Amino acid sequence: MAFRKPLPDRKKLTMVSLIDLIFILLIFFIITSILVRMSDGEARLYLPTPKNEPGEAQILIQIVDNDEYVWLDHTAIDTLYHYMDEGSVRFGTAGKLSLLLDKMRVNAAELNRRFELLKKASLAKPVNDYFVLVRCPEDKPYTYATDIIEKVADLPNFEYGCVGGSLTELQNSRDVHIEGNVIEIAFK
Amino acid sequence: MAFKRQNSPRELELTSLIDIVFLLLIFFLVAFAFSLGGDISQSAASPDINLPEAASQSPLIGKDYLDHLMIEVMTDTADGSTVRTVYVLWPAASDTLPISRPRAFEITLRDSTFAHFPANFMNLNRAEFAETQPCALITAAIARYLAARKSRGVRTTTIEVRADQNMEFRILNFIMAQCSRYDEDIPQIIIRTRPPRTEGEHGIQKAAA
Repeated sequence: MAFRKPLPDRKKLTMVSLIDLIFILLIFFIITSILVRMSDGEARLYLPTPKNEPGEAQILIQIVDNDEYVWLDHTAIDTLYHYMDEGSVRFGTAGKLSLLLDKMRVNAAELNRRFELLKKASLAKPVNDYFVLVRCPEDKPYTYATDIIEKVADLPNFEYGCVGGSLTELQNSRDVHIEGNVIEIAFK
Repeated sequence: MAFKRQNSPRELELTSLIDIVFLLLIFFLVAFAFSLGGDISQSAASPDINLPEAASQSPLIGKDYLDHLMIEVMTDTADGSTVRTVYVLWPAASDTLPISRPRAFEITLRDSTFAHFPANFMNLNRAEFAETQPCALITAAIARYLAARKSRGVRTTTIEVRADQNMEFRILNFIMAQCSRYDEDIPQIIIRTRPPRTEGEHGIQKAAA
């Protein structure tokens, strides 16, 4: 006797689970769309207002180009020791100054290394009257300056300023005077 | 004969509860998304605003709700040539009065002003540059904004600068120098750098037109 094969049960779609699943997918897409719209690719930089004082500084960072900077600090005296005159050095002539500025050129990697050293030194021994001046050529993209300002602003206990100016202007300046750890530039 | 009342505790329907929770979550998410998406193009711009033609202008304030005075420097096209344009955007938000987002955009639109730099602005000397119309606009706007804040008893404020990535440092330097004049009142500035824009990205000018 042949048995009748039982008919397979028609599986019912579980409505509750389906609705849950749809809602979960909906939430996923809504959150994704919100996040996509939030990330507009705009970089925001919160900075203490830089001072606009081109006069004296302990460190002068002249931006030359994208990966080219001049870092001028009291070590300039050691760099050009033969111009030294009892702890004070004055670069009044264009030849000496150009030589100095060439010697003090650094790239971005070296700049970052010096920032790290400064940061460590400042944390170990806070200094209050240290002023870093950043000079950027006015025809360059402003992001050249903000990249450096961001790092300078990150230095604890440092004050900083930012002015416009090119390396050529610095080379043609009337006088660069370094005494102790203070650099003073007199422009024509 | 007294029947014994069956007092079994009712079980919480977990499935329904999850559904309701998800529904509520969706409702709030959608409401939040709508509150974020206060697109300028949907707000009723005043018809008397005479904004310049711009082919590649980025969204002026986008979805942001301005908290501070914003100075925006953008590349525009005027009379077929590329010019640098400064927009001064006033925050509509009052310190005391809550205001709806579309209304805030409307007020910001109404009060915003702009000026073009001359094409040869990089060749001007510093004194001449400071006398250009956009520089005068920036100087006046910062002074007016500070005066308005002080009249409301706010001691310090922030200025936002928003610019294209390739903008010349000369313009930012001028803005920073102006802020530096009031460093007691403006202890902080926010610099918002826009990435390079894509073709066909239109902003407020198109929307307003």
